[in-house]
Amino acid sequence: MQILVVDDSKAMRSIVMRAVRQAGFEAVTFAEAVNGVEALKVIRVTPPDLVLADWNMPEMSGIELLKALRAEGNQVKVGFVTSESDPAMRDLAFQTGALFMITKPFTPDALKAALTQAVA
Amino acid sequence: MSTATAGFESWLADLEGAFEDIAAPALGLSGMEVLRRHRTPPVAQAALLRLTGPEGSIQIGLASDEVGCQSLARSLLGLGPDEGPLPPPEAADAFCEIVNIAAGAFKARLRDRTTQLQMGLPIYIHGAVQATEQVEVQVSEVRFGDARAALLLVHPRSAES
Repeated sequence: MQILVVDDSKAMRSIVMRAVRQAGFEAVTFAEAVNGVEALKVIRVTPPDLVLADWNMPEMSGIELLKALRAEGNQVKVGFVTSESDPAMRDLAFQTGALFMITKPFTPDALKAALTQAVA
Repeated sequence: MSTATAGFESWLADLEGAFEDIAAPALGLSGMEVLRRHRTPPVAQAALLRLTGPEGSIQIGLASDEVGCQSLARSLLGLGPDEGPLPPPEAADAFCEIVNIAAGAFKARLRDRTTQLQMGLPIYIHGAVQATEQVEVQVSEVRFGDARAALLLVHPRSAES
């Protein structure tokens, strides 16, 4: 399984990748992108099985990335890992097609539950 | 943000609460101790993040010296004592991410009391955040384990101040 981790923070990309492995998904390979624009390029060339995206990023946010993907008919699985927890943003994420929205700081159990559901 | 101006004093308590909220789950620390409050921003390294509402914006921040910045960045990344120091850009990136996470907790704490705030992106600076005729800076000196730091709340100056 390949997961694309999209976050403008290298630290957070590292934390997310480590947490995925610690959640028992040890066979996962990772690709990384620093914003939605870069993620779109990666996804078009090498479609991942799952995208884990931050919400607030420069150039193109996570929700803009998801909207752009769906607008071009790309149904890749997308989940958000973000410090945002606003109900309206959560609603928008799900209406746009996100599988889950995990709030930072997240627990290993929360990530594991979301990933297990996403890859089922 | 005029309706909220009178409440900025209490917002510092919310900012302290937000950092307390994330100290254990994000940094692996037992908590955060508030040492004292004042209005003299430290000359330090700081990560700042703007929160914008319909009537204006505020900034929240975390400042510390190089040792404190390194310590908190390492805590976020879960690095052990045998792992070497982080390169400065990576320490700054992690320091900014701490503020980003705290901003989410801060925004959640304010959700029921203020209008919707939109989070910006964190920036990293060297030096002191300056109060001006338009904005004032509230400072909360804190301790995370062995690391000393200051929480910053930069907001429009109220009519009385």
